[in-house]
Amino acid sequence: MPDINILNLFQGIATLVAGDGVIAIARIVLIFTGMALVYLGAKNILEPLLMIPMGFGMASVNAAVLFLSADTMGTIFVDPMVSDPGQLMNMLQIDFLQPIYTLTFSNGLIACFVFMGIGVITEIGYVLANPFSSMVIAIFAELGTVATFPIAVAMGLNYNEAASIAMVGSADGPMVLYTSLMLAKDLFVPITIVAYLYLSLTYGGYPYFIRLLVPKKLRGIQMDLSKIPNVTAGEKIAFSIITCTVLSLLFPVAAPLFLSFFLGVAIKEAGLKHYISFIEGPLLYGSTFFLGLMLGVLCEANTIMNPKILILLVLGIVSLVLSGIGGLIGGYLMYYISKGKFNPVIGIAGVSCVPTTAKVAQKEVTMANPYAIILPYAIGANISGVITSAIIAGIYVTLIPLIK
Amino acid sequence: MYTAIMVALTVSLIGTVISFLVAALIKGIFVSIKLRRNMKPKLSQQSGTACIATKL
Repeated sequence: MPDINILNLFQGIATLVAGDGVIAIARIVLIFTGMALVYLGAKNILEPLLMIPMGFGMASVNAAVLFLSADTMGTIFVDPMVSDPGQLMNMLQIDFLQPIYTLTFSNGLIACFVFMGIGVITEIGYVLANPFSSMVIAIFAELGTVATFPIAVAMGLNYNEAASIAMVGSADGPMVLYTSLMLAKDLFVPITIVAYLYLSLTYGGYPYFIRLLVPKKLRGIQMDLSKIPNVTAGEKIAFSIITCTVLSLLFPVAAPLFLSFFLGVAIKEAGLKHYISFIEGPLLYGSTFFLGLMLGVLCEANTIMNPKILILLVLGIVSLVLSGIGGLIGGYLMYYISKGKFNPVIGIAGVSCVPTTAKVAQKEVTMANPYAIILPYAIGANISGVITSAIIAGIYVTLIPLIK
Repeated sequence: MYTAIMVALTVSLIGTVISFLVAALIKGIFVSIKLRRNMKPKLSQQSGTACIATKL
């Protein structure tokens, strides 16, 4: 009878016993967190499109740790920290998600695909109808992305990390992913996870925020929809190509994001139905699926057990709350400028997170006044929020490396 | 810390300026297309009058 250690037969359990105690506990916690995410996603409490694949990835990767050699433990999912080309070639042949990570994730391609999908499903006409009011709100809603930066530096993060976590305030997942990949590659996993977790909470959290900061009388203000001019497809395409070119000229580093978004918008407006159905279907849903799965798989205890994670959790929520406050301040400003004709709730839609915050704004307004419709204005602020977030991301990515 | 605050202020200032430039660009495109659309019938009307005038 050969002498077989039964624990070596079940390596997932053996590595729990053999490894560091803290990591073992973290693995168990993350396995249950993954299960919880799947449950919350399936119950529609959190965004199911992202949370179900993410939860599966998180639970599975932390369970499937094995002995890669006599003294090293790991998984055959993905190695995000590999940088040596020779080692990378090996990993591409061993880790089953490494090709997806290396070829679509670490270069920001997946963020661009999601952004292109957002462009295709976005109605940009409402921004064109009221560009200045939408942009004023969107600028105020960037309060979190700007104010969190010095707070993060004061809490011990370096400039690159501070800018990356501050971008959570833009409430735009692909933007946070892109910025952290460009500026803080070592922390991009926890930062992106923090961002997506909080973003799925905006639908539940922002309504309380609105009720707290805007009195019911103001929430029920009816907007004049007859003032919205008709914008033709040609005007929208002209806007897309000119804005894309100008912004790419100003911020070449963020040009992939600008190109993806405005190309999506132009494809929609040009009525290229085969492209539209490809981008809004397989490309957008495929990218979202792999984004969720990769984020889950990257939540391996060894990767995520970063001492900065608690700081990131605090700063993420600070950034989103500040952006919400900023957006509502912008809404109030427009309310005073228009002498009481502008519904301040629209301000919350300046925090991009398309189209969640616009839907939240309309829902809260309907609760205060069932006849009030603000959605077209809220969508306008929403899209402006995406544009200003991309601008701020472009400034951070360009400016931070220049600071000595 | 001082540098961080200066960076944040710079980012917000540049961001505001560029966002307003984009808004102005949008307005500009919108206005010019509208003007062109309004001018077209007038121009065709004028050229039509000119044609009639040469025939007379």
